[in-house]
Amino acid sequence: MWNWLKAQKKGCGAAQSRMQDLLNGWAGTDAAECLAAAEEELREHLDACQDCRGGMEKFLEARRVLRQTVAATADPGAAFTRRIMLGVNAAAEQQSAAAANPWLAVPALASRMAWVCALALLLAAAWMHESRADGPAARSTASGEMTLVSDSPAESEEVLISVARSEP
Amino acid sequence: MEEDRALVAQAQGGSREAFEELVRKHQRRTLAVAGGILRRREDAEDVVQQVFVKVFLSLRKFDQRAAFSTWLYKITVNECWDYLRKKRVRPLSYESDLSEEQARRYVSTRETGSAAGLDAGVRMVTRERVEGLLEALDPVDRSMLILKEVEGFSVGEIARMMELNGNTVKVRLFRARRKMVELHRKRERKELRQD
Repeated sequence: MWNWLKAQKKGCGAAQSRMQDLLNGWAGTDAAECLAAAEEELREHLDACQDCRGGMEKFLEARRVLRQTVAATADPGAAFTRRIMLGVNAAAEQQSAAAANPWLAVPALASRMAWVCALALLLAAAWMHESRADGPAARSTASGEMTLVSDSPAESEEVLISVARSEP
Repeated sequence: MEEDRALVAQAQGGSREAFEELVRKHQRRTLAVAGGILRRREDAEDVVQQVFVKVFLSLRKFDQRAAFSTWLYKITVNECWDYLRKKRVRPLSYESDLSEEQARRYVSTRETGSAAGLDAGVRMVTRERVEGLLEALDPVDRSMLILKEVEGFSVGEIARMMELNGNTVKVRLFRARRKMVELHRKRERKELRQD
């Protein structure tokens, strides 16, 4: 807490933010050059504040070691280009073969086809259920015979009329 | 940039030569992006090959509103994270990654210990120290730091390829640098105590 208050008093927060901007824009590793590239206000702060100055120097040292030990990528050369193009050509051939043979599209469309089939089944089941509910329902009589009885009053009347007509 | 536009337009029209030219032009930086994240040359090469195949297959959909390189690096970054997720590769690099030229450069900067037998040892210790510092960082922060400090990408480029805000990249770089410095100091103090 005390250190934080001390740092605030010295203006380290603002200086560190400026220092980060400087380090983002400046690519060198030499502390003196870095100081020369800094704005005057930051330079004055770094001259006065050993903590910030030390932090900057340590980071520049880490940057130097990082660059010296972690390999920056060299151009992989023509062999790598050839390798990439072999992969590209193979993929292009595969793509044109797929376009020529429609059956090759089946595995790619399998999941979509499964969804479409599931939806079709669901719709068919719903339609069959609805048509059964609307149509004549089968009911068993007390004697155990199966008779077709319609729920619709209009159809019942037609049945009674036809029975009356058929009986002498 | 304009050259890229023309090459992309030609490649979209079916020119394999134009695409090859794009590969030749961008393979080093693409490999640098992949290497910054994966830290293993073999893995980075495999991913870069996949990236270019992917780019070739979806080139017709690319409308050139963004720069080709931005689009390419974005795909590379996403492929790298996918690769790490699938393979659960621990990002590592090895002593063998250190080129002869870099080893020579490093040794020449050291004032002491230039005896031939000591070089490999010093190199190894420094290498381990740097790896230790990098391992302590968050993988995204570490990738950003390598891309910025080693590969020379700008904050804007890193922000675009990682689909992050520029300020977020700055903050994460700040955090990574601070952590590196703190660790560096801690290790120095420890070494002083041991001496």
